[in-house]
Amino acid sequence: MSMYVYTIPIQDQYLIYRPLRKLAFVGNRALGTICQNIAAGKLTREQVPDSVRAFLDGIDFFADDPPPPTPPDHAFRPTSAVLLMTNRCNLRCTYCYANAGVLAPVDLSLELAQTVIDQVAASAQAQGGSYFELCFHGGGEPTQNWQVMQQATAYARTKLIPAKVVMVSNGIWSPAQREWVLTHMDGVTISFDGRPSTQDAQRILPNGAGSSALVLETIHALDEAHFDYGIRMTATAPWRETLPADVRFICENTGCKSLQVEPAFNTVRGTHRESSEEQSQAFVDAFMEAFEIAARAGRQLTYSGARPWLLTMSFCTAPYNALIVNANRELVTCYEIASDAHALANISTIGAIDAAGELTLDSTRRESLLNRLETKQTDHCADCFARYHCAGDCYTRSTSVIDGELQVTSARCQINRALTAQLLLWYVMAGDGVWNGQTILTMPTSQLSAMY
Amino acid sequence: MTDETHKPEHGEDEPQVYAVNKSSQGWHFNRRSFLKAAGTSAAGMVALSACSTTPVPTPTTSPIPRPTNTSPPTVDPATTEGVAHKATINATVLSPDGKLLASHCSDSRDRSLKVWNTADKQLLLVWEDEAESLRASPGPVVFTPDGNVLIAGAHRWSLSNFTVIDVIPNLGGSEYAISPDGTLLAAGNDNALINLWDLNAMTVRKILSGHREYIGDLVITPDSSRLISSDGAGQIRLWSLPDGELLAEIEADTMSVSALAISPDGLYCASGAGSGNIKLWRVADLTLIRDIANDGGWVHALTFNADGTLLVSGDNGGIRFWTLPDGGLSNTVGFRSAVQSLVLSPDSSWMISGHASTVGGTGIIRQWTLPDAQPAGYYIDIAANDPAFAGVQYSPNDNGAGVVTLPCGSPIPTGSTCICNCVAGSSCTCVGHRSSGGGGHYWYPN
Repeated sequence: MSMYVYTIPIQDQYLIYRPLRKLAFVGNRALGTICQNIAAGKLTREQVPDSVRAFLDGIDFFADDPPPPTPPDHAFRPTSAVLLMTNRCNLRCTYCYANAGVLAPVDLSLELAQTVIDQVAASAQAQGGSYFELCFHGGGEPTQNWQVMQQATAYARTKLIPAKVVMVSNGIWSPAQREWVLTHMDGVTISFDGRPSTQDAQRILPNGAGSSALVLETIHALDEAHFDYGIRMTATAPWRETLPADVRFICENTGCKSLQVEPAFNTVRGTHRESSEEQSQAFVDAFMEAFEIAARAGRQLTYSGARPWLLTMSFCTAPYNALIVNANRELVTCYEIASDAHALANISTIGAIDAAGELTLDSTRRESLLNRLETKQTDHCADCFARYHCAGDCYTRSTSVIDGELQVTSARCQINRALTAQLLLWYVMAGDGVWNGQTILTMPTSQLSAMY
Repeated sequence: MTDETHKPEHGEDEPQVYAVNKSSQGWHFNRRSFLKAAGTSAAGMVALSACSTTPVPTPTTSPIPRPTNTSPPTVDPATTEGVAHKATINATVLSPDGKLLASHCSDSRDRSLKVWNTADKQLLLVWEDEAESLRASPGPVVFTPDGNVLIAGAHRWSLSNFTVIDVIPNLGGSEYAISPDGTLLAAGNDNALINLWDLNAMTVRKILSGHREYIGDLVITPDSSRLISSDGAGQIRLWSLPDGELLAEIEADTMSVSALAISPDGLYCASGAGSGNIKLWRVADLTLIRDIANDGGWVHALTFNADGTLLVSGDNGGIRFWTLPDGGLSNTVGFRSAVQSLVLSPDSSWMISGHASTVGGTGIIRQWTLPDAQPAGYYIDIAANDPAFAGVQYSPNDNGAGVVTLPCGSPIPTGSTCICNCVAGSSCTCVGHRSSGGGGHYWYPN
C-alpha cells in the first residue's frame, strides 16, 4: 500500500491529509492514528472498526496514492522570453527590492530583445508548441523603456509561431500607452496595493505624491475594455488592519478577477527581510480574512507559497522554461535578478548574450542552481505536507546570505504551511466535511505557476 | 473479525470525524456520525454542486420581456436586501414622469438592460445585450422626453408594450444625452467623438470632434440650446445646438471628468472628476463659479434637485448632499461600494442610486426618500442573485419548480421549501453578504 498521510494539528483536532490524493478531512487523534497505521501497513481495512471503515470506504481512503508529480526536465528549451526592460521607474515604492528609479539608468536594447525572441520562438516551435510567451518584467517599470517594448512586441508578432505578449507593470501609463497596451497586449499584471491610504503610502510617485488615482484610472480602463489582467498586491504590516480592507477595496472598485498578494517584511528599499513568527501568523490571519472577502466577491486571492490545488515539483517555471535576460545582457533564473546588485545574482546568473547576439549558457552554473533547488526539496522539505504544493518555495525569497553563506530560511515555510492548512480546512468546510480534490469556486490557473 | 478490529488504547478516545464550520471566532469542529458522514461525504460535493447548478429562473433571451411573475411576491423589496444585476450598475435612468427606471450593467457577468416599475419596484423587462451594444458608465440609455420610447444602444423600445420598435444602424456609443425638445440625441464614444443625431430623421446631423480622450459625460440644457461634454483628459466643451458649433472649452481637471449635471434653470453645470473634484460652472461661458472640496474619491454621478438648491454626488465613498450656491456639505451616506449612478424623481421626493459590485459580487440599486435620505428599499431581480454566492436557495412551490436564490440573510418566504438547511418561515442564518465585519464569515448554507 502506497500512501502519504499527514495528520496536522488544528486546535484540538487533526486535519488528516493525503496530498497526492487531494483528500482531506478532520478527525480526532484516534482517527488520525488509524489513518496513519493504515498508511504504514499496520492496520488492514478489515481491522478498522465498522463505522470508521464505512466512512473511509465512502471517501475511497483505502486507494493507493497516484505517483508523485514528475520532476522538471533540466534541458534548456525555453518557451517564455522574459525581458527585464529597465531599472528606470516612475514610482519610488517603499519596499522595492530592486531600489528602482534611483540607480544609473540601464535599458534593455531592441537588438537584445530581438535575439531573445528569436531564440525562444525557435525553441517553442521546435517543441511543437502552439505559441511562445513574451513577458516584459521588472527591475523597474517596463513601460519606461517604451519604444523598445513597442518594437519588441511588433517583432514578436512577425514570428511564424504566435506570441502571447504580457507585462508586469505599475499601471502608471499615459493615455496613449494605455490605448496601445489595450490594443497590442494579451495580458497584464498590475501592481496595486488597495485603498488609496495604502497605495499612496507604499507606491509613491517621484515627487512624493500618491499614485492611487492614476493606477485606478488604468484599472478602470482595463475593466471597461474587458481586458485580461490581474492585480499583484504587496502587503506590509499591520496585516489585520490593512490587508482585508485593501482586498475589499479592490473587489468593490475594480472588476479584477485574479488577485495575488505577497507579504513584504522589509521597509527598506533594495532588501528582503525575514519575518518573525509573530509577523508570519499575523499575515496568515489577515490573508484568510482577505481570502474570504475576495471569495465572496467571486474573486481569486492567492499567495504564491500556498496552493493546495497544485501538485508540482517546481515552485516556479522560470529556472526551467524561461529565457530571462536583464538589461546588462545577463541570463538569469529569476525575474527579480535585475542586476548584479541582487544578493543571489551570483548563483542566479547562468549566462550572457554578447554584443554580437551570441548566447552563452553556463550549463554548470545552471545545473548547480537546479540541483540546489531539488536538494532543498529532498532534504529540507522531505517531511512537509506541503512539499508538492510549494515545491521548495521561491528560492530568492527563502534564501538569505548570512555571513557570506547562502542559507535556507524558514520564515516563509511557516507562512506556507499555515496558509496551506487553512486553505485545506476551508476546502473541507466547502466540501461538507471532506475535500476530495474538487475545485472550490474558481481556483487559480496555470497563470499563477507561470508567474512564480 | 471483530476481535481483530482496532481498539482504542488505554487513554485513547474513540475515533471521531468532524464537520468544519467557521465563524468570526475561528474554526469550529462539530462531531458527527461516521455513517452519516460517509453518506454525506460521498454525496457532499454532489449536493454542493447541485446548489451551485440548480436551475434558477434565467433571464429571457432578447428581446422578449421577462414575465414579471418570476419574482416571488413574498419577497418584499422594501425590507429585503437584494440584487438587481450581477455586477456593477453602470446606469440608472428615470422616465420623465418617474414611473419607470431603466438600469443596465455592462460586465462579463451581466450584460443586460432592465426596466422597473418604480411604484412597486417590480421588474418589467430584461434584455440580455448579447451584442454588447451597451457600454459602461453611464452608458447609452435614455428615455425620450415624451416617455414613450427607451433608446438603449442601437435599439428603440416601445414602452407601451416593451417591444423593439427598430434597430438603428450605426447608433451607439458610450454616453447618450437627449435634448428636452426631443429633436436631438448626442452620442459620445470612446474615440473622443460625439455624433449628433437628428431624432426625427434618425440620421447623424454632425460629428463633433476635438476632445482628446473618451467622452466622459454629456448633458443638454433644458432649453435644448447647449450641449456640454467632458472627456477622459479632464476637458469640458460647450457646444451650441442644433448646429453643433464649439462655443468654449476649458481644462476642468487633471483627471477624467466623468460626471456632469445641469441645473434646472439651465444656468449652471456641475462637473465631477476622477480626482474627486466637484466644480460648478456658469453654462454661458464655462466660468468657474465654485470649487467644492470632496474627499470621497472618484465622482461617478451628479444630479441637481428640482429647485436647484441641492447638488447630489455619488463617489467611491458614498452619496453626498451639497447645498447651493455655497457648496456646503449637508449630508453624507457612506458605502463601501462606489455609487455609480444617481437619479432624482421629478419632484425630488425620492432618489435612486446604482452601486458598484459589492462583496458578494452583486450590483445593488437602492431607493431613498428625500430630503432625509432614508433607505426606501431595493430593486431585486431574483435571477441576478448568483447561486454560487448566495446563501438561500428555495423553491416557492412544494413541487420544487422554479427554484430561486436570495442572498444570505434574506427572509425565506413562508410556505416555501428550502433546498438547503435554512428553515422556511425564518430568516436565513447564513452570514456573508450582509456582514460588515470582514472575515470570519462563510456564505454556504449552514
